[in-house]
Amino acid sequence: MWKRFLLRVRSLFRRNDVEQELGDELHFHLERQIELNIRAGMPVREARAAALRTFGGVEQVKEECRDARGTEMIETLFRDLRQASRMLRKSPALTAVVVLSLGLGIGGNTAIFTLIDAVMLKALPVQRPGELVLFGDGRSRGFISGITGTWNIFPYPFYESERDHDPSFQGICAFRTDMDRLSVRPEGSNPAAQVAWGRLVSGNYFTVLGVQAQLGRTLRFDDDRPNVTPVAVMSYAYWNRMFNRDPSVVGRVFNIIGVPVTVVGVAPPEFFGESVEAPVADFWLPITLIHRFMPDGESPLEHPDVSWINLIGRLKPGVRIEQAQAGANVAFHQFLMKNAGTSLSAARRKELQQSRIVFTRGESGISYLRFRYSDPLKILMALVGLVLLIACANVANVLLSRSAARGKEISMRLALGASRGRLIRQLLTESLLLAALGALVGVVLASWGVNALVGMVSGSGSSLPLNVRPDAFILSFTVALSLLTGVIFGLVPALQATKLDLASSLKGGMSGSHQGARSRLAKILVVSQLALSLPLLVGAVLFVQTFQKLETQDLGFNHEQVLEVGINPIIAGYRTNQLNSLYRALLERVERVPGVRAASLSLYSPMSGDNWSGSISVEDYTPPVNEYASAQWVTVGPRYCETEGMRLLLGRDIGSPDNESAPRVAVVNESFVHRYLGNQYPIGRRFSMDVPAKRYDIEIVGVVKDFKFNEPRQEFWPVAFLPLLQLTDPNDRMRFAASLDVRTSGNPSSVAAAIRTAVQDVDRNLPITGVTTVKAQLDDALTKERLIAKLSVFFSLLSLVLASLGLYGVMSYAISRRTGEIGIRMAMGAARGDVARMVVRETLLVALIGVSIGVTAAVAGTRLIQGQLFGLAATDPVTISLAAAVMIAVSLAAGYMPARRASRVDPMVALRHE
Amino acid sequence: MGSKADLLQGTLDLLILKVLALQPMHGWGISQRIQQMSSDVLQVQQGSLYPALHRLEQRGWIEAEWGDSDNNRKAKFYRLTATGRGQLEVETSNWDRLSGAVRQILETA
Repeated sequence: MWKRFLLRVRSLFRRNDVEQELGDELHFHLERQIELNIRAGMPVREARAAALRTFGGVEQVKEECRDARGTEMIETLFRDLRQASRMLRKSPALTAVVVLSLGLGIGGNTAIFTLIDAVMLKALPVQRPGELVLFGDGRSRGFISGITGTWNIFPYPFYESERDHDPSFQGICAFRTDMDRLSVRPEGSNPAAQVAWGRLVSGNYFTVLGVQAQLGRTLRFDDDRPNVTPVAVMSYAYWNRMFNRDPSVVGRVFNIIGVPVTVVGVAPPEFFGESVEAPVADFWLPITLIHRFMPDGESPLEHPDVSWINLIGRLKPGVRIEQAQAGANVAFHQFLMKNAGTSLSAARRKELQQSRIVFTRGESGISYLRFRYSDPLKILMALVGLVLLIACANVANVLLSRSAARGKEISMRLALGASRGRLIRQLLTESLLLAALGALVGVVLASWGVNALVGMVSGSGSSLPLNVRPDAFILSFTVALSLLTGVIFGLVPALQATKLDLASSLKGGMSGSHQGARSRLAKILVVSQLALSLPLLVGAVLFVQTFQKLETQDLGFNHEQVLEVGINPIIAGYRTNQLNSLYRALLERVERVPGVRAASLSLYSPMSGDNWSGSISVEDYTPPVNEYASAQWVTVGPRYCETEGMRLLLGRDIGSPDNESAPRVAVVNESFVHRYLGNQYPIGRRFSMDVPAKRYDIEIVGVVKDFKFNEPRQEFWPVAFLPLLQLTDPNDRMRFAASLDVRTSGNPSSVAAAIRTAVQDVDRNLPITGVTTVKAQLDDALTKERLIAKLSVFFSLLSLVLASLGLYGVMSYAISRRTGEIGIRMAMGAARGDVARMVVRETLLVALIGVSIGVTAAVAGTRLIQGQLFGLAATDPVTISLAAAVMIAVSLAAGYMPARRASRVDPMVALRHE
Repeated sequence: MGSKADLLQGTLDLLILKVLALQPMHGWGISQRIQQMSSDVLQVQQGSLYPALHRLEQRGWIEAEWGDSDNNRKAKFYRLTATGRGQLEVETSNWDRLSGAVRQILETA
């Protein structure tokens, strides 16, 4: 076997040697025969002729010997490939167009599908991820009480009873919905604390997910018991980044949350947690440490009314998700009833009865990205799908016109005796070589594109835990599609060309109906390219406008020149009764920094994505039956409205006299006034944040213009600003400001360093969790819109270029085919302008047909993207007319060159051409 | 040549293997030997010998080596391989069965 293979390889690569030997062998035979004949008495010349006669045709025997070696096929292939690459080099423009259009089509599709796969489909890197189910949908966050209807977030005591009693599961683990900020310092050393991310998880978290430690151990079920020594598992990435994979980290004690925590192990490199989103956990800590992150050490662990954890369960083999869900709901109702007590109102009882849990398959983990990006990614997929179609149409077109141009060459070869099969094989090889080169470019673009996309999706924060490689399936699919295009549109013209009527084709005449059919096919291809490109163009214009409108819209406050410095007094160990002096010290110190015009504090900053809201009661306002009045609230420091650039319409800003000893006040926005105060004068009106008690203890002292605080697309709704210094309830998490807001006189980032220093002057243990601007947070909030706008512009321009190249090609070909006709027209007296107009008319006709089909498709299709738009309709007539106009203009430009060439035809030359 | 019997399809392979079973030989030698052994009844169409040799080599039944011929000229010598020897037995018994069957038909008919 091996030897045979070697023989074959040798015949391929040492072809000259093999040929030489074959020649020698036959030569030897002939000589012996000649000798024999001479000895038999023939004259030399006759002896030679006789020998050759007995032998048969030497060349024919050689050929048969080569065939016997079975290398003929491969040799021909090599010859064809050489010939094909010569042909491609001879027309570099054509080669580039085909290779690039295929490459971009393949690369774009692969990159986007890979991202979709990574964000939406890929399973977590854990054992048998198919067995995992998530209680709820994983979208709720924070600490919530008073949930009704569908629950997506749960109280800890419910977890304990589920973990211990639900028979459908092999195990259930719990984890906090949000990441917590940690300040990490190795025990015994005194460098500045590092800020890291931690996820609080139940002790059985790693066991239920089926994740083994890379080094040391993972958490154990008893690590989350009360009063055990706190332990933590470090992520591989953090271990690598901060400790250069030093194994002695395991067993070391760190001061992570104000207490010593022993690192017991390192997670495996591929494990990033249960959530596919940024940020990624650097540490996993037992959930029982939650009190360390709560104001004054208050713990929600025993609270049946406070929901703050997610649950993931691993189903027992054979248990279906519906069964498990039914069982969990029964247990959940029992739990709710037990905690509701005995004296339930009928309404409350009904509310509890309607509470339910809907399970979600847990194999891909939790991803907010999935909710946020599933529509945009589908749109992008459709977009690149269209681009691939356009690219294929373009390739088809180019191959068609090329084979037409080569009709003469093919006839010549046929006349010289090339077999039809041989010629078809040659043409096919060329098409396939083109397609293969396109595929190669596609693979390169795909791997580059995937990384670029992940970068774009990640925004400015830490990057996503996505290990994305171009997806093999989609890559082979797109490559196969492009090869298929190559085969079909290489083969059809090859078949046609080889059927040519030799005589007429050699004469250069344009005989035959199939020539006409071919140009019709080419026109259909161009029309469909134009028709497909137009919706892309419309979409791109819509997305760009959406992005611009969102980016430049008036948010309602002047957010230029505002710096947002993240602080975290909770992990710095502050008690609520120490906060006011910290706040005063901070503001006093920061306001002295040169370049600072005003400074304030807030619970959360604009465009950070945070939102606190709840029920309120307003004096003299009765809500409709079964409804509460509600408002979003932000606890803020003195001079808040001035610092953030809110426009005060009535009354005054929050000031430093609004402190713990003064009466409670608030500044509200226009929507608050419209909704709850009607036409009455708002200043002096009262409300409170306690629905049943209705103490109405907060007085409105100011009204600001409506603003968008949470996200760029939000509607205006009631907001109240409450002074931080006035909160007295020790358990109130709202007392802990997380943002130090600074209005600067110049570029905000130029004072960032000075403000860091100022904060550290006040307390060097107070961690700064980040320094950003509202502008930057807005940019982050618009990541998705920017991504769609950028990519849709890129791909629509690409498709426009492809379509116009296609049009140019078809028109040029048509002109060259009609040189004779044009010559006759000109000889009969047609002016150059007439000829040019004729060509332009034809171009325009093709363009108009394409554009009108495209407009219809755009109107039908853009409705699907309405949800992604802002401030304009998907069928915006201006946008559609603009796109159509651009399309026609580009088409005319593409048709101009051939038209000019046609008008320059010299009648004499043209007529001889016939 | 017309008076001499043409070779049956496939029998050439058998004859080459048989001849080479005795000793390694070059193409010319093989053609001469077949003619001689069949008392000049069978004449190998000389041209067709070589493709057959290359085919057998490709199948691994014979192998080739360049060596000196009797008149000190370089010639390509073919030799039977182990698989070739096995193949020779198979082909021989096939031939026996075929010729036996043909004879039987001729005798009874």
